[in-house]
Amino acid sequence: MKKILLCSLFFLLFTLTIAADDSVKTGGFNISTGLAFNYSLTPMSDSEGALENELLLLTPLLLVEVEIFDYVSFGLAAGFNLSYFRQTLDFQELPLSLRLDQERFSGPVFGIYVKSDPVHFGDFLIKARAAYMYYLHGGREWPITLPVESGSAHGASRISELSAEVLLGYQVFSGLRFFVGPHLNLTRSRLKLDQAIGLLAGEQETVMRQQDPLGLLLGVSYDLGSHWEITCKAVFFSRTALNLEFLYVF
Amino acid sequence: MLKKTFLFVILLNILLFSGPVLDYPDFYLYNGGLPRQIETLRYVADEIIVKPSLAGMIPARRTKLLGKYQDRLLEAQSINGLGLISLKTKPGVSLAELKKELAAESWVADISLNYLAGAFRLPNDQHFGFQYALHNTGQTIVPAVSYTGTSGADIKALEGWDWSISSENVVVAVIDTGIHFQHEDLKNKIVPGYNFVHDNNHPQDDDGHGTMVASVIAAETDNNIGVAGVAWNALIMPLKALDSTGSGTYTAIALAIRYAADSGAAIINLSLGGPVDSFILRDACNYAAQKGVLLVAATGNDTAEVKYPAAYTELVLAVGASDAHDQLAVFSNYGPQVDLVAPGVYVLCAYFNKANPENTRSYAWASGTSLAAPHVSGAAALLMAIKPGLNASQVSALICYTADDVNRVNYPGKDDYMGYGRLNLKTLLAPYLLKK
Repeated sequence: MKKILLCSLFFLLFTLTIAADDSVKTGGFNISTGLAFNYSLTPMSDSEGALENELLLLTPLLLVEVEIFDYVSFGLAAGFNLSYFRQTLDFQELPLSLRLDQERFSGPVFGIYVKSDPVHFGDFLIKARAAYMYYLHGGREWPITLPVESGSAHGASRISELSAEVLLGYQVFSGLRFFVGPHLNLTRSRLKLDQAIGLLAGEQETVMRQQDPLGLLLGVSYDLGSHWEITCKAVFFSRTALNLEFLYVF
Repeated sequence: MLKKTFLFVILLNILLFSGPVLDYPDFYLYNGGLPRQIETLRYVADEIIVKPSLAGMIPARRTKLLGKYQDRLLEAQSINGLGLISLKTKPGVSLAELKKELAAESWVADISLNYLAGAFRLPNDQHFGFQYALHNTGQTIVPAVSYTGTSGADIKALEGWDWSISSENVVVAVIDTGIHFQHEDLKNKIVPGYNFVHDNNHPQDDDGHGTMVASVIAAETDNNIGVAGVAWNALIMPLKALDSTGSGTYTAIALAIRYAADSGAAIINLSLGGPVDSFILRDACNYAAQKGVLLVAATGNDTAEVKYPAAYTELVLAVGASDAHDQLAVFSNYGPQVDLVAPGVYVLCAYFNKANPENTRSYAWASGTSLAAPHVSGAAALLMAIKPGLNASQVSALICYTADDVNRVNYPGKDDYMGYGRLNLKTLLAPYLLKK
């Protein structure tokens, strides 16, 4: 929570400073900066398709976008993430089988994305976006307290996410746009646990992938004043995801 | 001297019979407990179940349709009565990929893994109600002597069986007086063994002790008769090294240990012991341990120091006896070599009754560390079935670490009386919940 507040404060100061100084304009580039809040619940399964679970991800992000060509922007995202599997996750190949029950992992997240809205016809437009996000998690330690012997378990987690979407937008009136389209998302989680209890040691890695990659995205965006763009998106079918984005366009 | 050592006859300090022999038909039926669900999703690792879009597909057509998958399939069989096809895959085949490809076939209406769900692990064996060692509700254990237990003073078998009931791939060698080959609770659980007393390949029990020990480990379970074993699906390799009086030479035992190690046994149960350390026994234990075999031995029943081979700390898991109240059995030996304890007082077992050798459904209560050790051997068989990657020393350590420190009030931690504590199958087999 503290990290989220710090990120938000940093963003606010950054935008206010730049907004206050009209001389900050880039020569050939249009720069935007913003904040995004993502929530997603993704059905996942192991490689055999037998172990099923749901991965919950909460991610506040700081965004910086540069328009590199007409209608094409390249963006960087960085922030903080919190994740956990909603159902219990067992590691039975370890000497002492271990179970995680909604144990939370948190850490930084980094990403890159490209977005474009190259086609406009009347009140309609086509938007496309592709992104890659990498979620890092600080290692976690748990005590293992057995009646006589004690030990510990250590967990490390990594999540990667590749997504792409092509959307058809419609401008209802000036500044308000609705859009809809297919959303492709590939989430992969790698969770490794190791244990050390007395003379016993072992490690096990569980890799889980998103079950269905193709979903439907519905969204709305609204231009607030001459600099702010607020976007709200939701993904259905393949996963449940909500995204709220505040972008300041210089 | 050497000859003397070779001929040293060990005393079998066991078999403090304290209850009557229970011949069939039995007088008590148990009907308690509730079935419980397996908590996690499990499935048959080499099988896919297909529901064809056309019911009643003839085998020839099925073979043709599955032709292009033959490099990954071992066999396809109809499941009569369900209209489904079971596809057995070759080792290493990705079920997920095959499932995906088959799902795209027009002749496939639906497809599924063969999940394991809702297994009921309360065995229906007639005398299960007397087996407090497995499930102690405070019931009457031996009606004839009004011996009752304390609820919870057991090895938590019901909870453990939710995770493993062992496997026919796990063979436990029982070096003892042999086995009652015709006993209804054992006859289907035996792999070839050897008789080192009479030097032949028919290790028939002529005392009763070996039959009892074997039944504690792996009596046929959930078969509506007799008793339940700890490791339902494990198999027994009977090796007779003790004669009809319960005695045997170190050399016979050493030969049996080497035979077991060379014949694929994963565990060797030694419900026997002698007071003297000898290279005969030590070298044989060392040989088996080097081959990755887990040795489990009883500590002895004379309230004295731990006997050999249990006293070989580095080589053998030494098991003492507890009673139906989680107290140390009065006869159980003690010393720093004791690793853990398991129930060994009034344990109901399958039996070879010398007075009535034709009886194939004979049961008897017995006490001794001889009956405690096979509980631990059975536990090892349960663990090895679900974690084949563990070596003997890891299995041994895990069994000790997950034991209940039942005498912690007087002797916290590992002690000379109950070692790490009383065997607990739940903590041994069920996942440990990590939390801060």
